[in-house]
Amino acid sequence: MKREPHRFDDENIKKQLKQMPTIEDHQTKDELYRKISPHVSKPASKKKRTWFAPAVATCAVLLLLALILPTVMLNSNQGSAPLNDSADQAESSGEKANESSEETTSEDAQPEGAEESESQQENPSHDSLKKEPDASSQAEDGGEASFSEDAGPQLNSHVVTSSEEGAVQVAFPEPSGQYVVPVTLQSDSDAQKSLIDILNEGVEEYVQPETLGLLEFMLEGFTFSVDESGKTARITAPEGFSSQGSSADVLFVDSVQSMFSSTVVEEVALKDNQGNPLVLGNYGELTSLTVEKEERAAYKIFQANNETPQLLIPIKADYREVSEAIEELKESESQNKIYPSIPEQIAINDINAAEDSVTIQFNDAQDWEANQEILNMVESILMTVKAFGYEEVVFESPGRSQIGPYDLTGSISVPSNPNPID
Amino acid sequence: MKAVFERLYDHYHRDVFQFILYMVKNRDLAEDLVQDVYIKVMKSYDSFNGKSSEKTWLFSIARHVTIDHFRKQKRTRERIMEFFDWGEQGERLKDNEPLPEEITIQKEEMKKVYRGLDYCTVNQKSVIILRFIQSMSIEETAAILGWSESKVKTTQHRGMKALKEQLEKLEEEGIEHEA
Repeated sequence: MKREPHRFDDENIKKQLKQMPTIEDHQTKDELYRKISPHVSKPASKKKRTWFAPAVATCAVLLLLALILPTVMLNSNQGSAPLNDSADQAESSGEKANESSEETTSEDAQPEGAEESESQQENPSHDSLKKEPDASSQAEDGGEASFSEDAGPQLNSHVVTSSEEGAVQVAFPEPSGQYVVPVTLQSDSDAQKSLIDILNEGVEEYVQPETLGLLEFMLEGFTFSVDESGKTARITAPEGFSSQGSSADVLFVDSVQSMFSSTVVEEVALKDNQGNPLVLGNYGELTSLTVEKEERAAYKIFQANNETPQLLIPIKADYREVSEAIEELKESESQNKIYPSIPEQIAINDINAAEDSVTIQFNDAQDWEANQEILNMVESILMTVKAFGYEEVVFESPGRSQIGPYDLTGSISVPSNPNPID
Repeated sequence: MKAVFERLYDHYHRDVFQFILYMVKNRDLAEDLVQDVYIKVMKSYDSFNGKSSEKTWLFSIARHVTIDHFRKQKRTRERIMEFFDWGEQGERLKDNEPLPEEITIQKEEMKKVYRGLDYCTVNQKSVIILRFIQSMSIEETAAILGWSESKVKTTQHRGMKALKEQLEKLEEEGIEHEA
């Protein structure tokens, strides 16, 4: 039997190529991770640390020597009394805004050090010594805040506690397009407005994501409703909606999950404006989503730039347990403006999860400053613990007894939502 | 580290795996190579500077891993061909890869296009896979390959031409066989 030769033109070939099937990888995500993780060396980062800590320590020692030696030499010429004075003063001036030791002049010390001997005021190294504890403790904060012993009002909380009712959580993608950041609208002025009301009115009426360094709402133009039981929400796409690619599809689904995770809604039904299932490339035809009540995420810190506020950002991965997620809080992803929430110098000895509560044992040799960094750490841990379904956290051997609103000596209930905005 | 892996996996794995698979056309090999890609990515993630998008970066690593594989394979093949003087038969080796089951069930015409891809150069094949199988724009393809957009266009044009010629050749051979 003879056959006419098939005509292969560009268009036909392109058509065939475009219809080539998706070929699945038979290894699962976990298998793949197990295979690669032995090759992705922890040693590389440990290596860094093995030289980094001693190097920092050496520099610190040299700096201290440089500061102390002239003082000691001076004092040995003048007797011991001035040294005690300066030590007292180091404490009393501990709340002054930081200046670098180079910038510090003897004039700065005058208001508090007026009674000092002339010889002290003329010697810059005294001032450097006095300022030093302050400079190190406030390096992170640019010296704007001055903290009282038990955490000042200047510290910004990034969570809403469960006692504050009427909080509504929405979510926006961050600029790298990898994650969504939940934002909580507080109901002071818009009392009793439900999530559904706010979504239907348009989220951007209430919050402008660009002021937070975030991208546009993924469900703008969608319509929302809930059934009588309140357990099922329905989302309908606007006319002409189509998938914007696999990354956008992930963000879309993550936004829906994030918004409904702290509500009673259990299932979200999706359709287009013709009543058909929503077609999202990565997910195929999507008719409904089961709301994940436990997001099993690690909450780190996101800050797009100096003009925008710090926000807690949930990083989702298949963490097997809460301790794994808490460990993750030390990892940086700075190219995406995502920063660790546990400072490098804080050592955690042990993490224990019991029925409803998680106990975190810190190294008791450490003192914590009352600064934003420590408050961020506490709140990010609280949110991470909540994300794994636990209800309270016990901080064992914390480096201070109180930070912001939290009494660190007892158990602390987890907050209800992250990132409140007025 | 796991979080970074998970995220990259969730966002890009399917696409990266497709790319490698259509490049090497062997599932086991693609699975090995995709592991190499993640190992390289995770090792250098700290130095990823964010100048390109993560997707572009990941794909360019995938491409390099694939090209490395082809280089090694070429060296091996050259040694074998020298030894046995296989000549043309050696060339045909690449035809004998078993088709992935997803391709086996497709129409004859698509199988031919799939086979025909082997007769493009590695660069031509990269462009055709990215542009048509993975529906990427010229701009995105250029960023992944580190080329200018005009180089993408010319390579695409030559690749399509090579593919068409090969398909026509296969077609004629087929007709002769059946005759």
